[in-house]
Amino acid sequence: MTNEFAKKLIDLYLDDHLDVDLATEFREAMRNDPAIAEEVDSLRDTRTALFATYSRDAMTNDENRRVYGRIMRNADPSGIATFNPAGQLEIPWSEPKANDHRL
Amino acid sequence: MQEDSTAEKRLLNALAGGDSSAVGKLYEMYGERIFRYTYRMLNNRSDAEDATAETFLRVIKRSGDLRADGAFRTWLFRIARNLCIDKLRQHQLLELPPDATYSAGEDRTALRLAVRQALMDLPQDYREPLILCDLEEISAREAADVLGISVPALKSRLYRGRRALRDKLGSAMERNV
Repeated sequence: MTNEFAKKLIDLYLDDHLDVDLATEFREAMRNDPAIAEEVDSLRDTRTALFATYSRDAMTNDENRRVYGRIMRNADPSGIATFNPAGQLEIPWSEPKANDHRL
Repeated sequence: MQEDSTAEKRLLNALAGGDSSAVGKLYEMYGERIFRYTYRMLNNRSDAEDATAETFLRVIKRSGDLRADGAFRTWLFRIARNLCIDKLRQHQLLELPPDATYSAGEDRTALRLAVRQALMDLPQDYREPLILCDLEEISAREAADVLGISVPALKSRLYRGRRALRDKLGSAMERNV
């Protein structure tokens, strides 16, 4: 097994792209080879840290309002859409989102 | 791959037919994602606001080119990406902006700052696949389409990028994980 191929296998395992049998074999290989297990753990920890770091990137209501207003002023030069939220258009920040971490 | 494809097709047809108000609904569907993506690319919320608004304004301008063929999201991300690249070239936004900091008492602040800096320090060829695939959770096929490269090239850059990020984080990870 080449080093490059081993790396690809590790990434496929991390991405959950190995079929069940191959994933079982891979876990067995990890148990027998601490270097593989260490590589998997360090990459998984990095991805966890990446997710944790960027999990707070949701728009604030003010940001959402500004961006939406800017778009709609151009979409509707009369500005009616911006200032008439009870009209035909739904305002995207009007209802809280279930996965909004700020709630 | 495409979410709410029926509603999306209806909106795209309306927009292509001259109903520019349909862009409001498209913003509801994709605005948040495009903001997150542009913020991750630019590391600055104000610039991300500009890039997000400009992305949808370009959709309006190019509405005559729209095709409701299921590739709208890829097209949208490609527009956003091009705007981000232009902004990065214009301003060389490489330093951490003030809004990337967290309150002093927050756990793992140092690690988060290290992760942001490490991601921004990666070569663009590695950073973009990481943002699209590992943060936006877009498929390799769609990410490759956004970047205009083959799927094998995308995966190669993604795998190398993951290791480059891991290696850059090195000591920060050991202290915090």
